[in-house]
Amino acid sequence: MKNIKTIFLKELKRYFTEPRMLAALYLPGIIIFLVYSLMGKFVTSAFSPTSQIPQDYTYRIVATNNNVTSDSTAPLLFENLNQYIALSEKTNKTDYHYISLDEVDEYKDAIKDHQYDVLVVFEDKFDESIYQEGSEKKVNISLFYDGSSQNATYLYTLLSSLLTESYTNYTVNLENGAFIDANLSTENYTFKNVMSFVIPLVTISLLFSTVISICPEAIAGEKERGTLASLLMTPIKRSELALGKISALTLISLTSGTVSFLGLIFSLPSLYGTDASIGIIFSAGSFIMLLLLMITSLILFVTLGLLISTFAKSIKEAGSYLTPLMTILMISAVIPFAIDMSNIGFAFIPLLNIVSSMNLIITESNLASIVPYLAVTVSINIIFSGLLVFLSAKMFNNENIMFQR
Amino acid sequence: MNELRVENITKSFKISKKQQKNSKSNVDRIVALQDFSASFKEGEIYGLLGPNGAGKTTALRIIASLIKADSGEIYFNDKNIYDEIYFYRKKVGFLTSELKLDDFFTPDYTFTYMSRLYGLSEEETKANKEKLFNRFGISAFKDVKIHDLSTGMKQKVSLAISLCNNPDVIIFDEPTNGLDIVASKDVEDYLLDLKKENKIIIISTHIFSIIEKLCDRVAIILKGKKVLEGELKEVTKDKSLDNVFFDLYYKEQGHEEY
Repeated sequence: MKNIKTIFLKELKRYFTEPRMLAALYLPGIIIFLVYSLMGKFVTSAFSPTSQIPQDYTYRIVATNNNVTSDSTAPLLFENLNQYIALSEKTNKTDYHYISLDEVDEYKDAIKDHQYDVLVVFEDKFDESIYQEGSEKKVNISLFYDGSSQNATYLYTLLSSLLTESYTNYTVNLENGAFIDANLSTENYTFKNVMSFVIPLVTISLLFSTVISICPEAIAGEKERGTLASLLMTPIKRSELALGKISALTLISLTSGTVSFLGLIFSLPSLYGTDASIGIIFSAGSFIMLLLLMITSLILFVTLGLLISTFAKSIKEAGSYLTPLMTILMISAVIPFAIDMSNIGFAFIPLLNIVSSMNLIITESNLASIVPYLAVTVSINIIFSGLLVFLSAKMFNNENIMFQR
Repeated sequence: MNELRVENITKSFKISKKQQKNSKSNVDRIVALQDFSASFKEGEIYGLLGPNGAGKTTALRIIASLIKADSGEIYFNDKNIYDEIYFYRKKVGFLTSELKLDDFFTPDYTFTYMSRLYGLSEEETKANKEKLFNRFGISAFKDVKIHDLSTGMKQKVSLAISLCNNPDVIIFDEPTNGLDIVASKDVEDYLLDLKKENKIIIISTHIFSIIEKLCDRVAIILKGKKVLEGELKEVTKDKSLDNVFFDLYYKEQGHEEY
């Protein structure tokens, strides 16, 4: 254990105090933030732009009237919406149509037919419950829109962001403890679908580029410099050497992955083209799922990178093995866009399951339904990482790989 | 009293398909060392002499336990080294004149790091470091990154770090290869100092003058086989060492005596 710690600390010093290495580790996170923020600025303008919403447009809102007595006493959410539109868009207007709770299903069809932009369903006795002091029970508001409509998508994100300013003790789109999809669109090509394709592709590319930056150096670099022989001459077990390196690189990659994750999270409001808080775009459950997926995937990438680094005789050779792997990963990031991979069988395919899980977390509103899929993916990541560590340690004992090739 | 003995060690290496194609041969293994036996004593410098590719480095790597022989045994104080391999590795220092340092760290950090891997206490590390750094004139540069040191200083640092565990057995592959004349003199002097400290010293070289200057006993290796071994004076008798070597070399090659 003492030897593992010595090697672990040396590797940390190696990576955390060298500017080139620091750049390789943390730039991807910063790049994710910048690229996604910029992408949000340009891409959302193509999908849900205020700039493309015609001037003098009247937003058509249909809402349940169980909390209001007449149009003049509109709920706070709509007052805030009116104020926002009056201040920022000036020429646009709002039109409210009130319905009873029994008519909700009928008006969902009207949303799909683009007769209205957003349907707002307030929970029964909303007014009494939301302002009741000391009540711990949260009151639900459901928003429905058609994601294929630019105007509707914009109004939906605007209303979502205004919810936090209007109420405190509420939930969104929660029905019987499960989240329900706000997007009623039957068309595939929606903004969220595009993002579910772009985010895994860019995120995985950047995470793997971290692995490409640090792993070849770790073992193949030692071989190339000739320092590995000195290490193998010391009275330590070769498995200790492998574990010391793997644990250090995993921690290093985790910090790098965390920065990438934070970069992704903080760029989401820009990416979704809204001022909404992150919590509205992604629920806490989605965050935890994404974090768990990214961490275990990173460990898998690092152990794979180390195995290749151990096998290769030079940094260049290790790099040449890792680059095609990255290409394979990038291709796999495109597959869920063409094939429906929600069947749990796909979760058993290593690497491909990372992309499909990320895709599901982004697109699926009912997160509980994807827990088994994610559990299989995370388990596969951990099992394969363990297997790769075992193979790396075996390679350390193979003198043909360590010295003679 | 420490004693190291190798008995009938043989080592062959697999030849890759690419190497077979390049050499236009169907042989898939090459014998690098065949039936090599020798014993090494304290306070003596033992030299392995041979041309490049003769098997000297393979022999040293096997003796240092860096690679394993296909057959044969190595005994340190009458115990098979693989019965207590970590104990044996603590006692051995394997050196080469090739640079083997991570440029990013300082000599001070690298020395401490390697000493920790050898299981030395902080006090032992400090004492060994002071002694070796002073001996090789490294002290003034101990906190400079290795990347920023001169080639000569890097070589001295490499040497000092290879000896950080104050080994009883010192195995030195081509001790002066690539060193400048000042560093070469330093290394030669230091090997003679270590001999006085009763260390077991084994060196390999293809330079006759190194053997003549430093070694008490010599073995000549040609094509993986030991063809001659003995006290330097016995081996040379009335001839020079290079004459003895080339007689054997051309005989091995099937040429007339030169």
